[in-house]
Amino acid sequence: MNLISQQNRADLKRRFRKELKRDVTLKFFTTTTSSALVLPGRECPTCPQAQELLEVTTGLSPKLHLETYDYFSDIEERDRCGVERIPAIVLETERGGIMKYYGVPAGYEFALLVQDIITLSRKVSPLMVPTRRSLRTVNRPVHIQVFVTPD
Amino acid sequence: MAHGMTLENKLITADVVEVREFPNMARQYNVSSVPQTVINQMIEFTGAIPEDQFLEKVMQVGYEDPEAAQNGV
Repeated sequence: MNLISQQNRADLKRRFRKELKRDVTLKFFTTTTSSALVLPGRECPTCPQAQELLEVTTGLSPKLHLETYDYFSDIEERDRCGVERIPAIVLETERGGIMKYYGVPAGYEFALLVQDIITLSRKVSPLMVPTRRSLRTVNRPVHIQVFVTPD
Repeated sequence: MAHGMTLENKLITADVVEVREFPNMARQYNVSSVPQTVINQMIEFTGAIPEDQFLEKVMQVGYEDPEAAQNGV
């Protein structure tokens, strides 16, 4: 399956070469069970597609790294990152905040993912200084969920 | 913007959810149009809003004045 066209790969490779500064690790939570042995309740029909997309994306820059975890057996990491379903992609920030993507990051989500990767790599926040200052005073857990579609 | 907020504080987590892959969640949160944002399952809004308004909603649930909490206000 060709999830990213050759032209888009070339564009993205150029963009990563130009914009990435520090290394970024993407944690991918999936099911690693063989497709011939899928147990009821453990199906993840879109996990292979998400994996392919991430492998292609992280392959476009030596500064990008992909770590793959099994949702059903890597329980410690899953719970530490608060992953509740798959496919899921986790990006951790320097201050310990967690960004997650649930589902195949296609279309709009893919554009967000690329932007988040660049933000983390460059350590340049997209937010205004007063906003950032206020957010540092947050003293109770905040869980933001944004529901999107790929187009 | 939500993901950008996670850069500032370890208490902030932000998820982007592709609703077509998780229709149960779409039903649970009554998602009828996108993007729809839900904060701590208490505050919700549809569409993009200015940064200061988004911040206000986050602070509503994410900040408790320590003195007020101590005095039981």
